[in-house]
Amino acid sequence: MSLDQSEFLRISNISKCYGVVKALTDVSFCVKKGEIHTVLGENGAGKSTLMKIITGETTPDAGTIELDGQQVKTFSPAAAHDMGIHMVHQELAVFENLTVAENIYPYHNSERAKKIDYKKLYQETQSQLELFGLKTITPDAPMASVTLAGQQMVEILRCIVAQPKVIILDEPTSGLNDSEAELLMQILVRLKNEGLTILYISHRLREIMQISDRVTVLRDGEFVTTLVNDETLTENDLINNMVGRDLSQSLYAIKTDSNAMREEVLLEVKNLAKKNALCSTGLKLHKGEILGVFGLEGSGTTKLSRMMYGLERKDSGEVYIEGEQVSRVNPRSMVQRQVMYLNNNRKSAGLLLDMAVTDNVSLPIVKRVSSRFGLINFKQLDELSLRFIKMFSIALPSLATKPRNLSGGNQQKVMLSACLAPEPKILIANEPTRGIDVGAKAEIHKFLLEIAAKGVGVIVFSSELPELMKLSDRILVMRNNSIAGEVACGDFTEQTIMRYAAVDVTE
Amino acid sequence: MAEGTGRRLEENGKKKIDPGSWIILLLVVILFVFLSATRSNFFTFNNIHSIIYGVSFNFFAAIGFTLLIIMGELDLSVGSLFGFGGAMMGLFVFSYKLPAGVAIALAMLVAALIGLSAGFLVVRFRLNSMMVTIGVMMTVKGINWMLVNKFSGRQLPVNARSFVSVDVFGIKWIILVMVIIAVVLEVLLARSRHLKQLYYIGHNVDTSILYGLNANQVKCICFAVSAALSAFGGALMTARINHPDVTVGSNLEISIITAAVVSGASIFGGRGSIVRTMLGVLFIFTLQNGMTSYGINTYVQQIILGIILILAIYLDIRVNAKKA
Repeated sequence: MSLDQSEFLRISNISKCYGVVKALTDVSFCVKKGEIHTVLGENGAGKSTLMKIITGETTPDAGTIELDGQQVKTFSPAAAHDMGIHMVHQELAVFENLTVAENIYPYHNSERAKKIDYKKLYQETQSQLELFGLKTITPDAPMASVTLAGQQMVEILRCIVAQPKVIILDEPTSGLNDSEAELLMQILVRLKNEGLTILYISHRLREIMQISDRVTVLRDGEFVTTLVNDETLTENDLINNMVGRDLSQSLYAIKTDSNAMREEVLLEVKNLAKKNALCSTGLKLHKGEILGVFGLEGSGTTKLSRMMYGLERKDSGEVYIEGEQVSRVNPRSMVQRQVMYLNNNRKSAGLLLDMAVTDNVSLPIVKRVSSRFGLINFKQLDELSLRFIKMFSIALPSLATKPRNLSGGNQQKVMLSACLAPEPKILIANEPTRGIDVGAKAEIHKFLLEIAAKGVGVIVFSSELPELMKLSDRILVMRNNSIAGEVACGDFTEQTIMRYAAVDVTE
Repeated sequence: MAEGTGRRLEENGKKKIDPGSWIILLLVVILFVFLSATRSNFFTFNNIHSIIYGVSFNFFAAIGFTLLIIMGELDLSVGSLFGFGGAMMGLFVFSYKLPAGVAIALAMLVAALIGLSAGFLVVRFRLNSMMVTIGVMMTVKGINWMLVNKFSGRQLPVNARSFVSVDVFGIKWIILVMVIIAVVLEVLLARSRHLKQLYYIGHNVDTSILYGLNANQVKCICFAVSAALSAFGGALMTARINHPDVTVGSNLEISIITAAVVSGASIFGGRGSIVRTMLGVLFIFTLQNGMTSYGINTYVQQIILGIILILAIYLDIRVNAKKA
């Protein structure tokens, strides 16, 4: 049995590819019974894929999972459930229009099946809630009336009452404030002491240090190490293991001197704020500058980018372009002021997947290539499209090809063409190289550097630190919906930046 | 050709036409050939002319409908707004003694305001356009009945109806207007930046907004245009039958949605063409004409049209559903 205790959940040689992208390569490690085991890694390190495999949401290409000496044969959520593996997702999955009790016991059966004994249900729920010290939540309250933190707790409770062997928590504290997070930590430690095995995913180093027994670090889809959280482990150890790339072999060379034409401010954002989404945030972008904005998931980077372009409502704040205030911040007025936005999710917006490539390039500039009477000059349009296709070396059978039939890298290049066709003064690029291959990534980097050299101001929002260190003249680091620090060109190290992003410097 | 993606150059300069989108032309030809071969009195100038004459009124309710379906919005109020045009014309002519032209213009204006309101509800509160326009349909239908009852038994004065049946080059002028509108709009949909927007919005409204198009405004305008043109068609129809009537425009929306989808528009947006919609309306009305000439009773006709609509929607989903 002692062997079983130390290898309660055994992950052996797991590999998984999505197309050409290797999400996981030969990952093996073990989780002990009754420990809190953290899985740590940068965005894209393979944590989510691994968790999806453990919970049966996806099937690995190779490798095995064993729980309590039993090998997982079929990878399906139902099978994982039956084996006792439960997961609390980062995106909450609650029934907002049901009560707390119904959320905790969604499949509750009383003796007389088909009829729910509410009295008993509420009693049981009440005792569970009390057990966890959740005195403010009542069993019959509608879920929608419960705070985000409360909903998080209720979702964890739902897992607990099913008496699982392992629970997986994905960034459970991302929506919680400090005291709520503290309460959750206490509850998790208590569950551990009662013998539950917890697999924990978080970016917050402080809480990882606080509650983990061991920490497994993944990097670029590979297993790096498993560290024991004893007296000697420091946050720096974690950071170093998480980011420690061999930079000499890397695609990325760190930018060491800035060529920004610093005197002229192109874009200024002042006091941009929205309740529960963004704390008063400001930034300045200069001519010819590439400003990097870095933040881990949930740090508010995407919200900032969308709010400054008017894609999301703001509560307050101003946007100035070349010193002039934009009275109504919306995409239309931004495009008119030659500001373009490269979306982070090309599938949802940014492309017309089922229209010709020319149509995609022409959408933002259709006014400019039209005659006085509004008739489109197709010759000019085709020439323009061809120019971009050559510039970005987009592999196309014809201009009539639809982006849906292109690879991710080529889709991204078409989207970038659409954004650059209006010859913008400012480009807001949100994750400009997400999900594309290394070659296309390098090309897109090259173009971003080129347009900046021509005087365009570029803001790159990215969760990939090496990318930002290669491109940026300055990097703003976000944490908890506000800007935690600024790192100037020349001072770029992953450790410094990650420290701002993950560590509470006020402590 | 005006498929948004249709008018595109291959690299060798050859035009690429999507053959699938012109199936409607084939359907119309087959139907005409079949009826000409089997019904002795079908292929005569008078019969064809009268079918197309009938189509031309209804076509006005299909124009805005097509513009909206390209953007992925459904306007089911076109039938009752068609009737509304006639009822309002009656009101202005009978009660206010206005000349026909002014009466029609006012009827279109009121209809446009109704369409604009529907559009506003759809874009501002993100309500489902089909549901909103069903609401408009019921409301307007109620108004129509009230007005028509008020004027029951009264005929429009001669100068308010004779203008409809004027011939130009031996055919009714309204047929010529229909063809001109269809061709002009077809060209503009493919070549003008204003109408090309509809395809961008229909293919991906978020992308359109991201790159600075005012999708909400465009949709509102099209709802207003759809309502005004429906009212125009209905007013002319009312002038043709001499008096406001509750049957004017009744169930027309069903014929038009069938015509649009049969002719290759997609309820998912991004596809549709005016000329093809016109052919679609022609197909539906000729089919009805043909079925009547075969002595098929109207209930059975209803069943057949329902099945055609379901089939067309099924094919639309098979072909055009976004692979997301």
